[in-house]
Amino acid sequence: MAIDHDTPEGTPLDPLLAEAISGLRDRGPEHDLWAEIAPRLAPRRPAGVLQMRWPTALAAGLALVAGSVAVTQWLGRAATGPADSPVAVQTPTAASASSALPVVTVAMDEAGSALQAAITELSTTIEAALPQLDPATRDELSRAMAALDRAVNEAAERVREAPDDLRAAQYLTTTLRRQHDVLRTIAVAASRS
Amino acid sequence: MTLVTPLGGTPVVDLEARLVQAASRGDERAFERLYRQHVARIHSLVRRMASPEAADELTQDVFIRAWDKLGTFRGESAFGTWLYRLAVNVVLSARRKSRVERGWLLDDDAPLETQAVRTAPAGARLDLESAMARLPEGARQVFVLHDIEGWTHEEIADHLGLVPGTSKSQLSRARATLRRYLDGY
Repeated sequence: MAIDHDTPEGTPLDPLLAEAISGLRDRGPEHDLWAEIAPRLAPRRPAGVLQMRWPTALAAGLALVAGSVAVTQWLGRAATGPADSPVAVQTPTAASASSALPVVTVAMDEAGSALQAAITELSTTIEAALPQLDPATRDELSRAMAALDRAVNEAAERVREAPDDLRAAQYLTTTLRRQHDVLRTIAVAASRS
Repeated sequence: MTLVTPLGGTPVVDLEARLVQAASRGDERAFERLYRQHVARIHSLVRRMASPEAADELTQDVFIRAWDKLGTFRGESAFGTWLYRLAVNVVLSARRKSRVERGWLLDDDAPLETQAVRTAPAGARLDLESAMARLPEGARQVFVLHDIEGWTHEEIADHLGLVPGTSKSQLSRARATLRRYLDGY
């Protein structure tokens, strides 16, 4: 790299040293390092997919739930809109509630519906993988999934109660997205287990 | 972004930007091309800042770290500049780790003061790289960053966790030691 050795901040370089520096040339390694580098490159993950082990995935789901309760309560206090709502919420039916993966359907805009469809599909994938898991993991997973569903239900309920509250709507969308992300993480982990 | 266009050729910077984009999506062949473009520069920097013995391993670490962090490269500077800064950080990080493992508490001013000046046999070619390799680590890094790479004392101090005055004094003594060494040729 060519630089000015007489910069205001420094003392001028000794001519002999300056000459030696100007004679420096970049030189690569004596043998090709790529053969040692290539196997150490971590495979790229698809965008938006977190690579987590089972306990971490479960913790992520539970963390979402813990956060969602507090935020939902805050939204409840802040909500001032009318009680009537165009948003229809289906709480889990008896059949789905007894299942390990209760399905919640929320009537939303087109994007929300697409998200919900993806969530349903991921839930189906996970449900298919559940029998292959050990009982303890299966139970933990079922509890986390149910908790995620409750979080979405609570958020949807707030939207129904306060349909003009933008924050409530945003929170529902965020909760759905998070549920989708957690489910996708779990589905990826399930496919590898 | 400035495009450097060889006569009749593909813009160099544009090609590099496309290689970076491809590599960030997981294209290892694109990343290998980036490696081949920059390995000599990075290996030289690492060899001078650390040591010839550690250069291969640290160079590997630099490129592996670059692969992991490509997603954070926003193209605000040239890829080479970004990679070069990353290499400096890898070397300094290895230095800190080494110090912790070996229990070094102080920088290496004392060895610089007391080090015997070894001179090369008469007639040997002037070899600044060999001379630098004999400097204590801290002084060598300051010398490389300031006199070869063009950093300011403030930048060096910030990266090395020093005050600028220490950087200046390290540089002054490194230059004096190197000058004595080179006088022996």
